[in-house]
Amino acid sequence: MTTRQGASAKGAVGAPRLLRYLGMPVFLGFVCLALYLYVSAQQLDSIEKRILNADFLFSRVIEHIQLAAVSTVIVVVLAVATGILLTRPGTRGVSPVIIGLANIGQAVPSIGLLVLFAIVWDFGFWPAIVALVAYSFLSILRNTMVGLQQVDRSTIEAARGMGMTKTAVLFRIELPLAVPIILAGIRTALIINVGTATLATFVDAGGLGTVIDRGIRLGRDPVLIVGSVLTGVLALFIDWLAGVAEDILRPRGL
Amino acid sequence: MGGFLEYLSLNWDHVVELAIGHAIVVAISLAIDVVIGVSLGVLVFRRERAANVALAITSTFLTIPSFALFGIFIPIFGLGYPPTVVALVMYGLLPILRNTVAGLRSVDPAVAESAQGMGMNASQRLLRIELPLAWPVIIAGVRVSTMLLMGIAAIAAIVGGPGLGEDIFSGLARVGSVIALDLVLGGILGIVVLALLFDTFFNVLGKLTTSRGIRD
Amino acid sequence: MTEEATTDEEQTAETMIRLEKLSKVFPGQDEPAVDDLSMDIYEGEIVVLVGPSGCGKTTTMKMINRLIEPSSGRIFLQGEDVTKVNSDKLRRRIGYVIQQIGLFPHMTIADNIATVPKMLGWDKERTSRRIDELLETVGIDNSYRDRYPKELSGGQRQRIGVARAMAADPPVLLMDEPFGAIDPITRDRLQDEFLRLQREIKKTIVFVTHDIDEAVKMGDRIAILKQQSKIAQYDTPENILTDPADDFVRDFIGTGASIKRLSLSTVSEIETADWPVARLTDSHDEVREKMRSSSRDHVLLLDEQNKPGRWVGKEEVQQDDTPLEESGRPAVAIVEGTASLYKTLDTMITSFKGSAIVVDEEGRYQGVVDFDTVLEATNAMHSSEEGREETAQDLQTGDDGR
Repeated sequence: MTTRQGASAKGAVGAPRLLRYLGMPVFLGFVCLALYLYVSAQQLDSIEKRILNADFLFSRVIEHIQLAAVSTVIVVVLAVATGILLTRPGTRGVSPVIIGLANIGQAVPSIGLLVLFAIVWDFGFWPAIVALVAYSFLSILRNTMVGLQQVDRSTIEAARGMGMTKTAVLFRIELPLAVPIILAGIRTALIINVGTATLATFVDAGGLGTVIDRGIRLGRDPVLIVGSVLTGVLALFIDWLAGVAEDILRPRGL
Repeated sequence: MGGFLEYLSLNWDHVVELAIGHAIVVAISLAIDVVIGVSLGVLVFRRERAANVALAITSTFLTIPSFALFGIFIPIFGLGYPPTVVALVMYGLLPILRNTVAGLRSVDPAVAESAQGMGMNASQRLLRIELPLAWPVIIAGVRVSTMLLMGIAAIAAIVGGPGLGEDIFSGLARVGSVIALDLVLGGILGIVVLALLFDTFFNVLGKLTTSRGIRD
Repeated sequence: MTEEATTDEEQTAETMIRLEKLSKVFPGQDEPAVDDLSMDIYEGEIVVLVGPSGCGKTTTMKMINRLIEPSSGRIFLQGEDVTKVNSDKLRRRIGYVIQQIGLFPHMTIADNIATVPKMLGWDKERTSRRIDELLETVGIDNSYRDRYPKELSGGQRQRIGVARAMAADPPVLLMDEPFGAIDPITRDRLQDEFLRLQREIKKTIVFVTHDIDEAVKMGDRIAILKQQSKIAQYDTPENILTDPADDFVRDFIGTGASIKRLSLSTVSEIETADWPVARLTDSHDEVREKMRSSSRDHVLLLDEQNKPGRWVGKEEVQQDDTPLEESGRPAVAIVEGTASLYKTLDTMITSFKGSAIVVDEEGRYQGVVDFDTVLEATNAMHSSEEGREETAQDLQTGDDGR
């Protein structure tokens, strides 16, 4: 989907950098606090109370994270493997086709895929996972391929000139140099999947979307607001975590 | 397959009507995005701090799940068009803003300097030199936004908005019936076809409006 | 210290540009980039600002068209104080050429050139005629009107850059290392063409370069600038080369000042040597006769258009059975009358017999020069200078105690 902008620290983390890192969680903390205060100030009826309690919400959050995490792991493994296969000298011609498909593929509605798989297969967790993987696959594949292709040709040539086999070049040069791309790909996949997982409620796979949906269907604004805000907070928090991890895990010198 | 085609022929008008609704809401949101995105891009591309802030904020929009965004707008904007358009505009902004900034920054400094040296004032430089040269990159951003909005607009049906999402949710509601799959497929394929049409349109538009001197 | 050459010509010429105590301090820097610079530039002359990197010459030039606003001081253009006028409008009266040229890649050549005329509101016909004129002037074929910059070579783009700067016929041209980004061969040619052009159009030109040789070649007057654009010497190339004001100038000119001076004189100014000429169509006897009546051992044979053909020597001319067109060797060391002595010497060093054949613009024979004649000429230059210096000293005793 989209590559992430934003401040990224390279190398050692100094005091001002630390502050920038803390910006987002602090902001999210305030939002949660505001949300809590808002809910406390409401007179909740019994229906609302059944939804807006710690247990229920917490379960939905866990479900949401599970959906996002599992689908991300699967899609990254598949996309990176496919990406490697499709960037070999023999298969290079495929790139433009993939890139073209991926561009159009962004238009395929995630809700459409979720419902499609639910009808064709079944409702529940695993069909939803398949849909999530299918939805984000092309984007991550494209990003991986572009990233691998950006590995400097002359570096590879030098390695081959030194007598490295193609496999050795792949594992010792290309992949390590592509780690930043892969990390970015993981982050992107997470964001996309957190977003799509919000819709998983429609196919009985749970998640915070349940809260939002109930809020709409029952016409209860507090529920709707809590559901929407919590989902947003979760998404931004996971993105922040992924960003920090990306910076920490990025190899030095790149 | 045969069943789907039968469905299509029987419900053609309905699908087309929804498709038109889908296309219109995306087009309106895109138009607003281009106005805001390009204007904002022009304002901030020379100032690194401001540009970073603008880009960070717009990319936050994209991080927030679309369903949550649609949802939170209901108490504020109600149902139907308003929440749909506001949400779509927020989503489509980043690619256009980002590409406008990148495109304007990529103008050869020697070209900008000679334009200034010849006595062009700032707005003449912007309109005659910088924007035309950044145009191919900006159009590429518009295409990305279009694809994004096409898919996200499907969710609008939940908030009573227009478009092919309606059929997808209808199909969901009628699971178990024969027509359910047809409805969903119709929705998905309709969106994909619309996306292809829009993309082709922008592709051609881009080529036509880009000077031969800078087309690769 | 500002030194202005005070020949009679320049005293009656109009001052086109006057810089009065210009200074520029960039924010965050202690030292000014330009410190209290005053200079006059007369109408129709090429003034070259030259100096080491960082001396502020480009900053100075950019203050003339206020691309960089002066921190203090005033600028006068054609007698008018333009320090505070609208800078965009000011620049439409001044042509501006930079090193990287900066042609607009998304516009055709014609549209590029038409930029300022369009801003000034010229009608289409007038603009189109002007484009035709300019293309011819800079030597680009009219068929290039609708081409794009990416289709042109570096040298061609540079010419279009100059044409574009002259489009609205501004009285002043500012050029910042305009020939810097071009290969030396093309640069040489472009410099020659530009000088030829200037003879026709007589614009006032301020030219920035770091290359002292280019400055000597191109400038009517050169301002050698030190750090902060302080003027070390502001005078004609002749005067600077023969009489450097201080060690800085001497160092900047570098070694070879005398040889550089040779680039200021043309070969047509010196006497030709006494070499026999005949025709390719003459008989062997006639050629032998010519040779005998001179003291030389080679004859230059011309063709029917009076262009140099071949050199034929004593032994070769004896062989009656070999036709003259095949005897001897072809004449290749040829220079035009307008070539500098420097270039002539260069040609002569690798030539046959250490000589160069001088021709006119049509290529027709004018005469032959060799090392002897060139040496005579340079000796004459030296003695006339010494004479001048002595006269100058006589006039100046008691002045600055020099």
